[in-house]
Amino acid sequence: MDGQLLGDDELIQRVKKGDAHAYEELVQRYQDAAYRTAYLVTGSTAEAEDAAQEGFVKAYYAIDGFRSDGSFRPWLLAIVANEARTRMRSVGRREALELRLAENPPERSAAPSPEEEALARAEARRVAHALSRLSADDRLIIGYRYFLELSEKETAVALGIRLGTVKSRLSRALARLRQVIEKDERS
Amino acid sequence: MRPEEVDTVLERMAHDDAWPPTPPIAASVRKRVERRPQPTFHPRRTRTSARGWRRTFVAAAATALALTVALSISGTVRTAVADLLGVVGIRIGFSYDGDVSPRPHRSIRLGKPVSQATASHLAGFDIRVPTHLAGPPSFHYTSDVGVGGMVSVAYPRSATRLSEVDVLVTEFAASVDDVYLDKQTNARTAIKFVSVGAEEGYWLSGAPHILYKVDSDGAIHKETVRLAGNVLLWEEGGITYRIEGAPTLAEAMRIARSLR
Repeated sequence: MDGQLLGDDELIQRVKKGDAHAYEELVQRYQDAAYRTAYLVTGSTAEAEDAAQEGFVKAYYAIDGFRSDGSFRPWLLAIVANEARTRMRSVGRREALELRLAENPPERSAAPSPEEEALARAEARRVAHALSRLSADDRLIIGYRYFLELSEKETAVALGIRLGTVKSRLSRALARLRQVIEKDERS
Repeated sequence: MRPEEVDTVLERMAHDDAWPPTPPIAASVRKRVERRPQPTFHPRRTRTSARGWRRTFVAAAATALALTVALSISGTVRTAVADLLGVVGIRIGFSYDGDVSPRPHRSIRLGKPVSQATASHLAGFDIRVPTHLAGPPSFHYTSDVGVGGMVSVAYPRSATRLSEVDVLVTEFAASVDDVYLDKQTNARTAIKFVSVGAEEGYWLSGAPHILYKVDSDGAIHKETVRLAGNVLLWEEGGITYRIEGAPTLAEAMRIARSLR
């Protein structure tokens, strides 16, 4: 690299000319998002790692068809999510695995008391447990909007759905999540 | 937990500490792609900038109007080109945001009618036919798509009116360096990744998209511009398949699985 932070468009142009190091830079930039997307689908760290890596490799060979306009991330995530789904189907694990988020307590703005910390961790585990029982589509739309903070447009591209349906799909997914949480709490 | 608290918890879970640490992927990916470089970049693609594609789209839309394919585009053609996907030989562009209102009839130029045996001979591979659909279909061959030409297997509503096709299955051998068909979708066309057997593909549904052939310079074959309905696309064993006209993804999958 040139010692300067290149934009996605410049990196993609270099990749299209066969610069594997430019692609490594792109991978570093988006590997967290890709890995977390794959983890949302698979619920397995090992499967997520394989799916993310394979997704990046497939994206490299498909990048000739990508048009640079700043939307590389959702384009990539669509490929990674598809790879993760394919791997889950191929190993015959249709049931969602347990998402193990929030093993470490997330930081909060003010120093939390031990009780607050324990409560926050328990809440996050309950939500993660409920999430793992939703469909992959529901997990992805919630994950894209809350965890990866994709815009509505990016979410639409990443999920291959129409822009106008993102809000309604997210709303329905959140409603199902809340229902699962309420059911858990009643039982 | 109150329902409104779920939002707060979800927002906290976005924090890095809430996730398993991301394993080092970048170096492994680089090593893998270095071992198998990208296919040679075709010159015509380098000449086609995003701006160029916007011009291409406008030209395509204008041509479509001239050919009375009956586009009525309301709203402004959006400048952003959001995405580009596709399978070998077919490119999918997401280029504009407008309403497209097709007339019921679609003009389809499929090429010259041939027998199945002749189609296989000309194309250089065995043409597969879906057993799921009631036949008999008609076979058509055109030489200007694909490595050895493209074969269309058409199931018409009427034996005498091939312009009204219920389901169309097209098959052609494609080079990874070449693009023969361009699809321009709009915001009302849903593009979904799907698995067709062991292969990955796309399901385009919702609003019709524009379909046209391009030549080796990336120029549009004006006479080929038309609107296409729901389409399932995938590549298998070096052959690119396209099923158009199935009302649902499930039905398209049934047709795909029945190819023999």
